[in-house]
Amino acid sequence: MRMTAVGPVMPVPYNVETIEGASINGKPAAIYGTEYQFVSGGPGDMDHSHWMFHHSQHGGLADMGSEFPTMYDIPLDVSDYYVAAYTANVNDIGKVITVFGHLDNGQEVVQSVPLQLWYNGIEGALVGQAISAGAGAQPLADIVRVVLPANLTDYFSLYATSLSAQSPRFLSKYHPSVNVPTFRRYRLTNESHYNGAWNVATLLAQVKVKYVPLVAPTDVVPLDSDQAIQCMMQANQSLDNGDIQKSEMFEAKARKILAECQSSKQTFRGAPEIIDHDPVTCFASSLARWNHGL
Amino acid sequence: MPQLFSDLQVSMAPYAGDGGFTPTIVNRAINVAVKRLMESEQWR
Repeated sequence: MRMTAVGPVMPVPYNVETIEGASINGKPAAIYGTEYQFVSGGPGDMDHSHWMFHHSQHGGLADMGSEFPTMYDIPLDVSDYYVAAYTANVNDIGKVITVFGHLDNGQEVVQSVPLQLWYNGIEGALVGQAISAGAGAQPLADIVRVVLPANLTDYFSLYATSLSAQSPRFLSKYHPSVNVPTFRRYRLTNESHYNGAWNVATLLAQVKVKYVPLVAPTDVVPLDSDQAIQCMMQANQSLDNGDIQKSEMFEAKARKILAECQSSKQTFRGAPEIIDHDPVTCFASSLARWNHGL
Repeated sequence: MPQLFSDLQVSMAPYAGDGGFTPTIVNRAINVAVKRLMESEQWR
């Protein structure tokens, strides 16, 4: 997965569980767990002094946990951000999502936010629409939970709209059948200096895919072995019928098929072998010449 | 090659359990199976 991060905190989309490995701006990055924030004296020292990343702009990624209700927080530049929800599907117009949050003065509020159609139903278009119309009743300072109605048919987006800030800010995009959605966020270590503009980090990440229910006929099944799915369905069926032994056999079979599928796609294990000599002519290949600066 | 959910619904209908030929039951059975497989630690 390729991502670009601007600023110190980066969310991952709804269908990503964790980042397993990453490179930032072409350099290998360390992935720290949520415990990283409990380093005595704060993580600041480690952010700047890791041997591998010394003098590099970005060090690594620190997991901030997966319980965030939105991908991005409501911005702090003005204090009149209303929450509004937009859908591209006419069947979802008027369905109400529930937003739990705080007002600017710290008071807890629960708001009902009806879904409204993008301009002409085109995703991202808000031409000529009053930006705070159809939004929550009061401006929110933060969001602690978002609850979706059970009958949604399509994805929708949550925005923070404001009359004084003029442009609506993207908060999150939601899958229709995850009723209490949460997102994981990562902090880019060593992204501490703000000189009018944040540094831009380009990431290449290997991620673990998160389970989200398959709902639309056009959804892509994340597992590429239908035999494994078949075995697991039979395992579940046996479990329902009280036959635990049979269920375990089917489950083991399903996992074995999946493991075989995955290992067949791995071209090598361990470090890549670089052949830098042409086996026929015995001359160094262009790669070796490149490596030696010739 | 990942496939579309609609293809899977057709091919998995016989495995969805007793009387499992209504689309809702097939959908649910597939989703439970996919969830259990994806949540295994080995698979990434």
